[in-house]
Parts: sequence; structure tokens; C-alpha cells
Amino acid sequence: MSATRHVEADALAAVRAELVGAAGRRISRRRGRRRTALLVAVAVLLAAATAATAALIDSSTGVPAVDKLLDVDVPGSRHPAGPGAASESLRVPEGDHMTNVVAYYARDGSVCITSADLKRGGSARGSFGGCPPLRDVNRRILRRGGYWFGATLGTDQRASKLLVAGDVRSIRPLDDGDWTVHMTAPWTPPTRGGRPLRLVVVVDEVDIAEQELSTTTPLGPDLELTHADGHKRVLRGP
Amino acid sequence: MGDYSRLPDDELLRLTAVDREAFGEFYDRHVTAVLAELRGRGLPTDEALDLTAEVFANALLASRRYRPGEAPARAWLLGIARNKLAHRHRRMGVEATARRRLGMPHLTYSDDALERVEELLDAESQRYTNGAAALPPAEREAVIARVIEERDYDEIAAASGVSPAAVRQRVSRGLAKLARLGREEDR
Repeated sequence: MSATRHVEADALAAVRAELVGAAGRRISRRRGRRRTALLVAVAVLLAAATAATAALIDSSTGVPAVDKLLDVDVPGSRHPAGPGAASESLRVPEGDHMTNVVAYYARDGSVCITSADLKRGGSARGSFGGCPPLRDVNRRILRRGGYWFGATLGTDQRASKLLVAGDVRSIRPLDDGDWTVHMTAPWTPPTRGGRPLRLVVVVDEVDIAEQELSTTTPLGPDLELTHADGHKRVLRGP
Repeated sequence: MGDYSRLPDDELLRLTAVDREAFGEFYDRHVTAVLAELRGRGLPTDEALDLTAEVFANALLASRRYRPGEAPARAWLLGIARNKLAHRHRRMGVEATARRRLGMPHLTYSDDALERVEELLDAESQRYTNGAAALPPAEREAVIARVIEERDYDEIAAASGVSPAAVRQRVSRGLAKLARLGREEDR
């Protein structure tokens, strides 16, 4: 804690004053952030930085915002259902709005993760988390338990995206923070050698002062993965 | 911003994102219960106060994620208190992570300040005892044994010859009636 203060008289009122003051500082910071929008958010690409482009995928991901970002046009089928090129999508908070995150298998044999949402005017905004070859993803999942993709860090949130094996049943963050784990159902990339995978997004609603925000702030926690057969393993953070 | 005294807890937590006084009202409403819970579990008053501040700091950080319907806000808050208490037992010290994140100072208290808190808790406990007189005998005994004497459910059940589940139900009903009586008195 930053300082020590001695209370002579009303202890409960002193605690109240500190809490209400802290609540006020949070409100001010959030209002300031809204004005500066995403100014302080930094996107960090952890995986191969190959940009995902329209040419990488032929069919819809099932998420209009992502399709729009990837410029996918599937005639007569706005929301093709069922297993296909893309995993199901996760709807997660990103700064002051919600976004959709999806993993998909690209035509060149890589696996990509993209997040996107539609702005009020109908245009899409989003980010790519890299597109490593599927064989690299499978190999690393086998060796380490998971493959970290992109992470975002801001003053009120840090979030990381990753793929884990399809038989992972639950995930427990091991580090400090108020982590929420979002996870899709298993999805198998439609190719020979494709193994079931689960897309995971871990989100921590942090409250970091802007001056404390730095590249040394951990982007994601160590995770304890529990597999279907009951065995557990620890995946080190990004 | 407004009169929050009539708003339910979940609304107060939601409004905490836009008005700091909403959290002040939430604190006023539950601080005695949290403090009594912690002191009732054997913490000296100064440590119980320290941990109470940490519990509310955690609640403030998590207020945006509270979902009404999952558990009443007080149960949610007491759940945080029990987690923090378990953490303290494991590490032999009161955690300060949430207060650090919020930039809150560490408070120390004079003997006078601690004495006042003890008086307040004693008065609260007395209020329960007085209010309990209006309850049916079985509920009164269960509430006094659990809340005032701080005995385990199993122990109370064994002494009164009923199941722990039945004791829980009696305590729960009794406390609900006491809360209703308290609200009527306040009007």
C-alpha cells in the first residue's frame, strides 16, 4: 500500500472514506479512458505475425463482423452452422465494448485467431492474433499444453487468447487477478492431421494506473489445465 | 447523486461504476455484518477491521462482475470475507492486494477507535438478542446459538436433536424475520 494513516476516532468512517475515495478515482479514470478511447491499449503479438487476409479463408467463420474484416463473402449463407473452417465464437469484453473471437483454419494450412465487432455504422473493427502453421500449434500443445496467440493490455483489462487440446475440460488461472476464462467447445480444423482444439480467452479486469502500465506487466497467468481423463498440467503464461 | 437507501444491493453495485456514493451506501449496509463475521471467527478487532477493508476493496474491484441472482449481495460479500480469512490463515497475515491496487493507505487505529468498534458490535449483538425474543422458540434458540454464540451447525444440531439442515433452515428463517422486524423499526 502507498502509505499508512493513523485513525484516532471513527475507524469505520475512516475505512468508508478510503473506499469511497477509491471508487471515485476509478470512475474518474474510466471517464478519462473513454475520452481517449483505445489510446493506452497496446496490442502485443506473441505468435507469428503473419497478417490474416481475405485470401486465407473461403467460407464464412459464422461471425459477420469477422467475415467483414476478412472480406469473406459466402453467397446465400450468412451464418453457416456446424463444424467447419472456424471454431464457434466467444463474446468477450474488450475495453469499453464486447468483441467476438474466433479461430479458423486458413487455406495455407495455418490457424488464425481474429477478434472483431461491428461499429454503429456497420463497419468492422478488430485485430489478428497471428497465424502459425497448424503443425506448430499441435506440436506446442503436445509439448507445453497450449499455444498462446495475441494479448491486449490496458488500464482496466488484460486479455490473452490461446488454443488448448480439445480434451481440456477446465482451466484455472494460477496467478493473482480477477481472471475469467472463456472457452469454446472442441473444434477440429478440417484437414488431415487436424486434432480437436479449444479456443480460450482469459480476461482479467485489472485496474492499473496508466503510469504503472508497462511492457513488463504480465500479459497472462499460468494456467492449470484439467484434461478429460483427470490429469492436470500447468501451462506457463505468455 | 441521489438517495440510495431504498435501492437494492445489486443496483448499488451496478451504480458503483458511475457514482462513488452508491458504494458508500453498500458499505454502510453491510460493514457490521462483515466485521462481526470476522471477529466472530476469532480475529482481534484491529485485524478484523483491516480484513474488512480488504474485503470491501475486493468487492469494489469485482462490483462490475457481480450478477444479481447468483447469490444475495451479502452472501457474496461474506463469501469474499471467508476466502480472505482462509488466505490469512494460510499465510499468517492480512492480504492487502486489493487495497494496493486501489491505492488505499494502510490504516492503523487508536485504542479509542477500536473500543468504539467493539461497542458497536456488542450493541449489534444485543439487538439480535432483543429481537430474537420475538421469534418462535426453536428459531430463537437456533439464531442465538449460531449468531450470538457462534457455534457450528453440527454442534447445534447435536444439542437440539435435529439435523444440521433443519438448524440452517431455522437460522435462515429467524434471520429473515429479524431483518423484516429491523426494517419495520427503521420506518
